[in-house]
Amino acid sequence: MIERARMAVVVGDTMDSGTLQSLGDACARVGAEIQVWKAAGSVEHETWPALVIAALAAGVRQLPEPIIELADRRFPGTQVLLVCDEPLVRPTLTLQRGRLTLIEPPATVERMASRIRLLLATEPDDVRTPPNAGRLAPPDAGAFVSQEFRRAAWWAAQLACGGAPGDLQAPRPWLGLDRGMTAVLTAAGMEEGQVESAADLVRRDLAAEELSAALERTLDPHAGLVHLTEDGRSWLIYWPCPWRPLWLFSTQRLPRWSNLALSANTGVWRLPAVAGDVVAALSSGTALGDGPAAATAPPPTAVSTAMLDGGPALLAFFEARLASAPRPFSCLLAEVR
Amino acid sequence: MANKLLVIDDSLTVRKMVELSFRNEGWSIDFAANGADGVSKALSTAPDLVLLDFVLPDMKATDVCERLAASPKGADLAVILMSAKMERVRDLFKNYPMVVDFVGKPFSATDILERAARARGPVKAPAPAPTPVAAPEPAPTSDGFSFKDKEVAANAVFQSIKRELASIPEWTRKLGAHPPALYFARKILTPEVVESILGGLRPLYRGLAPAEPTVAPAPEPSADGPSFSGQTSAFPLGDVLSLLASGGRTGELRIHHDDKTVLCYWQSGEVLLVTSLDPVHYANGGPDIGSVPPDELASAEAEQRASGKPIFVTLAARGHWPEAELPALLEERGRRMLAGAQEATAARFTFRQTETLPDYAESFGQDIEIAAAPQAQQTLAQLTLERLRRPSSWREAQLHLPGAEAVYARAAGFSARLVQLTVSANEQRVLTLIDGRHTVNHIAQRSGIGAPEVARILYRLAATDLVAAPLARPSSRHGAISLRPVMILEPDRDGFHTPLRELLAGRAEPLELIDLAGEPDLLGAIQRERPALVILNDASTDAADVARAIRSAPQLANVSLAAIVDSQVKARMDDLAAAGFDAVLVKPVLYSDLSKLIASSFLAANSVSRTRSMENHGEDTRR
Repeated sequence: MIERARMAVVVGDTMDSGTLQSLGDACARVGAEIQVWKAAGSVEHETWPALVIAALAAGVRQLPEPIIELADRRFPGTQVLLVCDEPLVRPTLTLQRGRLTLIEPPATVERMASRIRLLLATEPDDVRTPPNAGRLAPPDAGAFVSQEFRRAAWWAAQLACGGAPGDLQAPRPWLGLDRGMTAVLTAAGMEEGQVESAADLVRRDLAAEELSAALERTLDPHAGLVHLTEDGRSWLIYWPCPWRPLWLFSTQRLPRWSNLALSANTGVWRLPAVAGDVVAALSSGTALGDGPAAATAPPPTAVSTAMLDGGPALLAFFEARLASAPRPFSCLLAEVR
Repeated sequence: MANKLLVIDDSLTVRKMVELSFRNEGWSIDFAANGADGVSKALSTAPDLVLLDFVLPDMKATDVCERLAASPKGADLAVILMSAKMERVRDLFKNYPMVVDFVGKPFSATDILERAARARGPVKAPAPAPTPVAAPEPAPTSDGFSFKDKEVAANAVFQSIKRELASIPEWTRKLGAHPPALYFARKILTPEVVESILGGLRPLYRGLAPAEPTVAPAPEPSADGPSFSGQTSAFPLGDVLSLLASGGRTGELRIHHDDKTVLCYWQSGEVLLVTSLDPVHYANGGPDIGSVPPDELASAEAEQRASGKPIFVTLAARGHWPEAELPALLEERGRRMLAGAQEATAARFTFRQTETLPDYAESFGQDIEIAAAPQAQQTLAQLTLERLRRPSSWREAQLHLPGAEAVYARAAGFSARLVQLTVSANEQRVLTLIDGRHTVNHIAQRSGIGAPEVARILYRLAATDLVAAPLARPSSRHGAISLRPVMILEPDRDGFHTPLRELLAGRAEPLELIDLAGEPDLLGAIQRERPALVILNDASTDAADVARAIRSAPQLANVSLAAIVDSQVKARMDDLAAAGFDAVLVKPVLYSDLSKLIASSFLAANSVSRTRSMENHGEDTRR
């Protein structure tokens, strides 16, 4: 049986035609193949899907037999996305060490596309993942490049866009995928070794003052670092550059949106991470087309709406913006699952 | 050059009184209506004397002295403290040598001038009045009086009206379209003045030469006693009020209507305080007094029946009511009493001129605007509406709030009433959705206003007869609203309130969120509502001071306090914890932390531990 990295099997018996239609649109949006599976006239699949998708009616507290049949017996260990028909504690929810993902109504195309994109992201430990994962190739002028990675506790992405020839280049993003997730928005002229040293520092168990001093010595003052612990329970933030937006969005926090760049510039800041947290470290706010004030201003409604659907939805938003109006821009995104 | 006097007092009446007393006595007078302004003026103008009121709207008089003492300029000033409670406050100022004297309120012009002279030495004398040139004893004129007799008479008249004449420049500004002769005559020739003139002339009419021919007696207010009385059928109450106002009267006006007796205390033509001999009538529709011990309440009511002293004044003196609330509360009650009297179809009145007013009227009285009679009914409804908008009345509303499924309809005569009232934007929005079909919940959803606020709006609209009583009974006594709310002091600049309100409303026992932003008397509001939890935004308030004040109030021992800070600065967080906060949360605050805090505030209000550690916990997946 051939494993297909971007194929999803839908348990058709659980889903109405409207949801199925939206799901098809969502898969098309993220470049995923879709196959509908029905228990009655079951066909043998020759390929191993990356994802099983089913709907879950309101009030149901046990997975229906067709889902178990497909996800546990035919394709054991496959990730499962459940489109729920009742409100959950947050818009999307991940259980069973990342294997089971639930989304609450409304199951919009954007929300489903975001989850499918997340679930289809590369796993760093996958044998097919190239050894230089996390090192983004420089973008061509007027084009953008991005990478996404997923573990049980988090999803992370980096994006870089080259502006017109002659434009100043945006700082290079850097993702470290060992012992948690480390995202560094570098500064011009920084060596790879500096960034790796900084990433190594945050993985050690250093006191806040000591770590602050060490990072200050290691990193350029124009560079910022965000680290999520391996268990996805704690953020460590070192962000001495308040002019670069560092957003934290969560439906589980008050206020939902914060620009940590404005409050985290006094050394290392540790704060608890909770499922649903989306962090976005941006080279500038100008990718949003909002002018100079964008560095400190709240994101536009379109961005807030995208953030509600999670990190991949925000990545898709940036990509769409940059596709229509390329400009020097880079960002690092992370979501706690 | 005149001596400089600075008066620091927010009472217009006192300021006017001082102005009249010192005018033409060789002083230039400057005023400050609050402590901060007063300190600033005192330090910049270095007055020869400061008259300082004990109760100021923004700070204590001791704070003013403290700030003055901190500056070499201020420490050299001479201050006379004004208070109605002289003996109680004297000790508070013993460490401020600048406070050279105390004067009890109310004070007479002679008293304050004498104290001012003692404080600063002899004041510079005003320009001497022209002295009559000595002349040979004139022959009697045809009317039988000598020129000297007539000079004495003229002097007596002048002495009687000189104070009023000095007010002419001020009156001229208010003249408007009034006929000047009549206007000034009514202002000057008050019964007191005429009585004083007649008193001065009496020796002449008796045919006796005055023993001291140079000066007639100063126009002292007449002794206490009835000045006039009547019935509104013959002399409308509006005219009585206008007469007393234009005459600059001081005294007590009793109005008897509908088996009630309303007492209006006038000072220099302004209504300072209105009360009633019936405490039930007085307190009706006012703030909730249910938490006052019954014996204390009974005692305060007995005192009001005997003297008219408002129960709230008595309760405040005994520590059962926040004194800081009294001025606004007495003004509101007073406006209501007066409007009720004006609305009465028949009433009797008696005006008694008095030299002094009750000390509580002096201490807590505010100028009460007299509404025109036809507006009285409208005023009552508007007053009700305005009172019920205040957080202090929410407790009362809470006891009568409809359930979330209650349905309201517009009351008969709705349109006619609405044009007479000024409603807020939210009230207008709710009014447009009242149709006899939609429930409170529906209206909340469609208006975008929270259900508790919609319920409060409906309650006050019903109280002003704009909407009819609910068509469905409340599902429970308290509907969707808890008895112990959560209060927040934070301008909602980053979208904190709505999700927090949703979080509280979504609990198994929904809780109300009361927004304290803009509340001038924070501690008073907290004492009224006795919330389970108070959340303060460190960035927008002096949170540590508020915490200390709350922690020093024994009756607020079971209120939990949470501070929300913008960044994780350990020293600052430690300071806040030391000030009395139970929890210090860093933005963005986790829902789970808030939920735990709220739960612990309600479960163990009396045993909350200081500065809880905020950690993540497991969670259920479904709401």
